[in-house]
Amino acid sequence: MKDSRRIVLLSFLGLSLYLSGIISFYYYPENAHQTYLSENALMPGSARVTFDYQDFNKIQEFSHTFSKLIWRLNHNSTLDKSKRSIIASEWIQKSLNEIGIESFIHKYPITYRNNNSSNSNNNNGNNIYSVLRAPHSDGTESIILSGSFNSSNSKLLEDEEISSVGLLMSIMRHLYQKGRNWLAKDIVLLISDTCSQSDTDSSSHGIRAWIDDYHDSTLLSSFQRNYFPRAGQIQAAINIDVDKKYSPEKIFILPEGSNGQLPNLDLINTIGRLAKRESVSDKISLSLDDPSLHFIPNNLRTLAKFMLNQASGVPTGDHGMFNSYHIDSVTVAISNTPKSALIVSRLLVGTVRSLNNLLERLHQSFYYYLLPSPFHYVSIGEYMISLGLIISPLVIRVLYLLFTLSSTFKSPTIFNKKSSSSLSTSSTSIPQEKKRGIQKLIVLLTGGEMKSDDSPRDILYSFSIVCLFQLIGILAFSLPLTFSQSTQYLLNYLSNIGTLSLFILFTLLYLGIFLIILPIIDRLFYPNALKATSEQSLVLKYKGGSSFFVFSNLPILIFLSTMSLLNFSFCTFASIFSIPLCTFSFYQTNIISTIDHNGNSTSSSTLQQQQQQQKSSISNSNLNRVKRLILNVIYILLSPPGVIVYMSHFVFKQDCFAFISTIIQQYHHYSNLMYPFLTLIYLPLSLSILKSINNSTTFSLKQKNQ
Amino acid sequence: MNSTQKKQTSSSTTTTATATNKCDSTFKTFIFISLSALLLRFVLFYQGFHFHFSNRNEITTPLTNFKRLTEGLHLWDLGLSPYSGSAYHQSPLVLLLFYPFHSNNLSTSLTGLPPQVVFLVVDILIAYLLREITKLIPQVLPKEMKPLEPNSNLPNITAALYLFNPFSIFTCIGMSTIVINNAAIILSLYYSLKGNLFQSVFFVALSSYFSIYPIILLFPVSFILKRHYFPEQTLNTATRQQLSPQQQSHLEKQLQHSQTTMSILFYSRIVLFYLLSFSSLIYLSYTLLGSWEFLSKTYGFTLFVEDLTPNIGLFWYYFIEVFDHFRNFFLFIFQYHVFIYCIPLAIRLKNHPLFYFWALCAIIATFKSYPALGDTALHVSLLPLLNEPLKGVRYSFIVIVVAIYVTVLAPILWQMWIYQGTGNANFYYTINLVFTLAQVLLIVDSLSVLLKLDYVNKINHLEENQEKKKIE
Repeated sequence: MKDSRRIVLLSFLGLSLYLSGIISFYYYPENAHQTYLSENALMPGSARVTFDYQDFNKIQEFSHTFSKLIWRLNHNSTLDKSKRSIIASEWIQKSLNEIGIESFIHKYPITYRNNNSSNSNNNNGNNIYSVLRAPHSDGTESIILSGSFNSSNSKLLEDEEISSVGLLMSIMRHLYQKGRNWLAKDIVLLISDTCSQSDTDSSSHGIRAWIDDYHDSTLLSSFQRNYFPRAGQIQAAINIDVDKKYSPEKIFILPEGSNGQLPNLDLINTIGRLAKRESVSDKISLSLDDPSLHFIPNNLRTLAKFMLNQASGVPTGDHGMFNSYHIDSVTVAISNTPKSALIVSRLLVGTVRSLNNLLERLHQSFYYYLLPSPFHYVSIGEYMISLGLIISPLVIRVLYLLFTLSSTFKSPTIFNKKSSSSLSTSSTSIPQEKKRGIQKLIVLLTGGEMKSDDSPRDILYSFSIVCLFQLIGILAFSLPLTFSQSTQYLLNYLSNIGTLSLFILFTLLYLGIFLIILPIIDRLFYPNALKATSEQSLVLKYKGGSSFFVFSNLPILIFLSTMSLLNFSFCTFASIFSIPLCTFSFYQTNIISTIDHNGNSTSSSTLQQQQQQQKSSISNSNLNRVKRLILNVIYILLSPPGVIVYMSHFVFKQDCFAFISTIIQQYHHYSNLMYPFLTLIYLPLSLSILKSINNSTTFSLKQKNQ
Repeated sequence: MNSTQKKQTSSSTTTTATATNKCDSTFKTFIFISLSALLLRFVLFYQGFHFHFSNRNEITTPLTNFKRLTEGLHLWDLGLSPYSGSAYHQSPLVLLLFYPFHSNNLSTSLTGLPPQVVFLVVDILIAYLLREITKLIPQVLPKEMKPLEPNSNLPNITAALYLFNPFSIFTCIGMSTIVINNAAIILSLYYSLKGNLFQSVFFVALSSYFSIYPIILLFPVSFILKRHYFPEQTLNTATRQQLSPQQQSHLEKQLQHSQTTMSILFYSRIVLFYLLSFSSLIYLSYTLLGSWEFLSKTYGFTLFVEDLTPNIGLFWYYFIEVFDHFRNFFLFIFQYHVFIYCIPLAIRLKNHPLFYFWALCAIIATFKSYPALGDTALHVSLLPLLNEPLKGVRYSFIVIVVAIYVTVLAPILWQMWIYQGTGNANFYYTINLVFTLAQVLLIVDSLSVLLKLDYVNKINHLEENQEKKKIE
């Protein structure tokens, strides 16, 4: 009874900690700190931005000509995709050269990092890039301005007012003409053509290919025909995105990069400070508004959106490509209206000027923060507490069990019966002090009250089973990565059959594990348990529970607590989802076992009582069986195939096999955590939860038979 | 001589007799274990993990890196000194070992095999030796381990724990040449348990030739050898009753006197053998390369810590931070710190030479100048040999969990520091400190358990004697 009360208390404590962890997110926006600039050298707005209407007219002029060109190209049926791309790129190169800036075309193979498409030789993508050499520098540091266009976009109007190409060219022209007396870092302009990409790809392969080639030190790199001038170490990158989908009222700062990586907060602060100076700070926004969610307070909505973007691990703009090379980067996005274009150009020129002042890399301010608004932040020291609270029910349980397990392996020689018995008799001639010392020693060595029921054999048994499950997870993780070609083929083939095949595959896997492999292991470890249904062996068999719980939950704990350094938001959502599963599975099985144990322990009492007990235990076990059935159904619904189907249908609105292949590709491109979490952690976890439920089922059934 | 030795010999003969009967079944399982371990390593090599692992600084150090070894081999092949340039820092004889597997652009290797084969073979060798060692221990050191049942699984478990230890898998796949050093250490333990004085001392010399630190293993090895050369001699009760007390004490004194002179001779023989084999190894390397350059490039490099590339040890961060004029002082302190433990431990652990051996291995792995996971793998794989005294270790699970956390966290923090730039060196060094702390906790904890065990046994013994006296 004491045990069950303790369990109720613990579960109550765990539940309250878990809930308080979730609720704490509600209080972040109110208590967020005001952002501040840490890096003195940035000095945003200390110099007057000279970008004026004359330059603004240039934007419109470039945009007009460029959109006309694209329109013309797309209405000329004799040209194919690559021709169009080349003509457009050459136009940009020519006009940049006319301004006076050296510019080049970087060609890259379209099959770049794209395994499934067939490669033909003249299928090249094009990047245009130019380097504005700063007269006052030694050419060791540079800043990137990047943007993209689509040369095969037939929907483009003939007279587009603003395009990112025109905006970037005009800024470069301005910097070339007026900025040359203050520039101390090279400015690299990078414009990438996204014509070769499918619509589902949100980010540009071109920028990725360029940045890879830029940092490639081998002489035999993929494309040798490029003359590749470099401009020193890239210190920061600003990506510009002009699209109709953004609201015309606002200027969007999108910081979330690949796998939720963020730029230094000073970069965002600089843009924010400049916006304040231009008195447009109320226009700055962090995420696209979703009109359906207006009942949530504004800041909380921004925070949630921010965390969701981070958790998905897919960059919100092309700036995510720069993350893997240690370059702070951010996307500034606007709609294609002239008014915001002028403001954004002024902001960008100001930002470039501030970054130009930097003496060293951005390093002063935070890299780990959550933004409820562009001018407020929550630092890592605060938000980690919430994650800690959310996973604490599991941590408490696992730590407690770990300590008890540590006391399982006792040295039998220390507890020599002779010594303890002779200690109790007063006739021994050992001095009193020594005796006390030994008693203390014994207390010390037993570790007080903490004792665990598991024998070393049980621990080994549960360890090997968890290892087996983990191995299955590792296989599920590594096989698609090593045999990517055939996996793609298989996924395509399966998607033709339909969603049902996913379930059939997983059922086969589960049946194979639970009906074939596990009984073999059981027989290896407990040869007596299956032959003789003696009470002892059965109890022994069940007793592996606590060590099994520890081992099966250690991987997810380690994953959540360590990976939260890389992607906090993903780990938070994953833990909100999976911690109740883990904890609840344990308490459920434990409560069942305590009921069964009660039935056992009172068997030595009078007959009447015993009969009553039996009756109650039978009714209990019937009830439990129903309970277990429900539990099984719940856990099977929450197992990986179920999760994959829900996510693909409700969140991504895709076929589930297409979903699997996208998460594998996303893992390739952005190294986000969805795929490793599902295979390495969640699959073994769900297997071991199912195992622990069914373990107790067989136990109670057998007891009933007796 | 006396009854104890007879007993020992008789018990050993019975065990060998039964072992031959039951040997086959356990040996079959051993073959199964080693084949599956080979398969695992083969798959990992096939998947190309050695490209990732051999560049990880947790797994390889400048002293054990295979890429550097290839560079040295190439230079040697061209007729240059392998130490020209600053890539190669390993002992010259390692070149000789890997030369048959080296292939340059012009010709394939002499044996036609990839160098990975060496690592696979060495791993299997170490596992086999560990298995044999487990069988030998109850015969030689009855205090450390109870005599094994003939069909006991412990030897195979020891081998399997080495082969499937993630650290040793990483080390093998990372092609870290530390495994050769480990093999030499294990061989010295094996031969010392067998009682072969020359071989064991030679392998200590070989391992200290590869990396200086194992020189302190000479102490435990000589303690183990002493068990063979000086079995415990006590007057049995029958003879004691026949002698008068005076005669008894006289005889004991005589025995003791002869023993001290004999043991001085014994130790000097070990030292002589050691010096002989070490100097011959050095001379062999000299003849191989034709210059003494290698001394400063290998041993100087190890002792003066010239490369401060981050690894899992304590040196790199400290010597980046320290001011130049204190450098020599702290260098002395840090290196002295590794070697000095052998003396107090020798005094305290005279009667537990195997534990002493393990403790020194663990101390070397923790405090040496370029540690890697391979060093940790060695002392962790020796732990099952000490399972008898170490059953009461209190923090075993904590240490294991910390070890897992560290192995997961270290690459993440490295990623944050080097690739993302969102962290810094302090993050990574903190994890090194935690790892060191876990290893130290393991050493201290097991030492304290051993001493407690000793104490309890002593008191038990006292009581037994008193009870016997009462009965008399």
